[in-house]
Amino acid sequence: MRQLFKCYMAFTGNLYRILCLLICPAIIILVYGVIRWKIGENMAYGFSITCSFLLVEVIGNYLLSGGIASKQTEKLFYLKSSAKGEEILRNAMVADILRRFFYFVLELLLAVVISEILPENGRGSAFGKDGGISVFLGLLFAGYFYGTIGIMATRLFDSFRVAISVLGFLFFLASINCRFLYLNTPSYSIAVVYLLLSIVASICSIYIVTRRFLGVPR
Amino acid sequence: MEFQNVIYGTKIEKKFKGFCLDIEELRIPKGFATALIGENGAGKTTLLNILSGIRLNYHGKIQYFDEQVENVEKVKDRLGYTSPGSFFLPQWTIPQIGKISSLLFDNFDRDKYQELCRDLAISTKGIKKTVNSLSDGNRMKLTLATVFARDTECLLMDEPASPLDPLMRDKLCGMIREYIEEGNGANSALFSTHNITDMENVIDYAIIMEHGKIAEQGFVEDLKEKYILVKGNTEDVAAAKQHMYSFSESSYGFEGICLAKDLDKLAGLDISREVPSLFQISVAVMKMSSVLR
Repeated sequence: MRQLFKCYMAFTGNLYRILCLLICPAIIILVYGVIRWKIGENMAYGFSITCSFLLVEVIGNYLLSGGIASKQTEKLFYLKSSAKGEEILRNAMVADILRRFFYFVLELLLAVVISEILPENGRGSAFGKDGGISVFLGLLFAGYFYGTIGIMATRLFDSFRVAISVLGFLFFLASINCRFLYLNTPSYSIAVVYLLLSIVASICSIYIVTRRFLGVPR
Repeated sequence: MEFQNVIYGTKIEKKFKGFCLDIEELRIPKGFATALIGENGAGKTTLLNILSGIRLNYHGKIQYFDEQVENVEKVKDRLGYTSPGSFFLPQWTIPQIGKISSLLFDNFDRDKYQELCRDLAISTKGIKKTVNSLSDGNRMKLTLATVFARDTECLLMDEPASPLDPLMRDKLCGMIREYIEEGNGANSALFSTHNITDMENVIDYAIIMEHGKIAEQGFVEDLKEKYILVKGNTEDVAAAKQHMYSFSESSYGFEGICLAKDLDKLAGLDISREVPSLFQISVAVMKMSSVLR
């Protein structure tokens, strides 16, 4: 675990850490608090926190390693010139996956805590209704899955336009997910489906970069 | 001249659309600086990428160092590879590269790296600059700082001189020379270059490539004995031309490279002989098979 953390820290600069790991998550929680307090709408809550998470993670990852696995790239050459390059790159990606999951859980939990602390504004608490936990898990794994897909896309393409387009598409998917979770009878099965998809997407995101790193074997 | 090889390869082959790297035998002498010379698209970068282990999809056999190590992964710590262009992730900062290099290479000396960054004046406006904010020249200097901060035995450098100014090229020659001398015969360098004149004082051995094949190779002093620069008058043009290896004429006369073994055939002509520079030899060899005339 220490090695994973060391590799991740080596790949991230101070500016990224301050902005994407400290300031932006704090803003997400704050924005949620305002939405919850002023609007009091559960669906807006779910949608806003998922989109904020996607925005920070996808754009942050684009700034950190955008196009790292794009075709015709030389960006991996320095890592390739070392025998440890593949291991260090993989460690950094695994650490990022774990960090992202931990961050989204933390953001959602803090959001829930805030929703319980703030005045209800006549709408009731976010997870007080039946199936609140399944809504929580549905948001968590869906957001995490979309985030992984977005990050995979930014690693494959250099273009900022592509990153923004992918982000827009993911916002659309997130809105559908939120509507589904809040308008239908919540079920754990949707969370399980997204959990499985998240695992597959995480494995694919590592596989694609590693494959590009190694090139076609002899 | 007999020599040990730092890298020895046989039947190295890599096919692309419209291009094929096809090297029957490659010998990189140990303890010397070797230049890889050739036209654009001759296969220099492909060869260096294969030798450094960046490109693995090729056919052939390559051996490294005395131990006859065939797996490049086992010797990557002993090789110092540099490439032009986006060698690092553009978002990386200069200190971050030091940190990552410490993880990547056991023999990386971070203090030496910082010292080299200062000595080479990579960034005068603050060390926290990112790679994409550096000029091509400074990016190459940064690449050189990472490779010279390591304890390696063989440098593999792709076009290290191209983005550098003349002063820095001179410094690079000094750095390569110092690296070779420090190794007491154990350190070697292989670099591709188009700046033959600027780099000539550091080149011991030259490999001239054309269309993916080695057209000529040898120690510079041997090549300078094999090829002779011949100059003559206009009246001898017709007689000399047929025996010359490369030939160019003007209103003042002719000039070209002649193989030393063919020099006797020019006997009786009013010619002057000179020792050619490596640049002149390289151009003559390249002209023989180039589509450019």
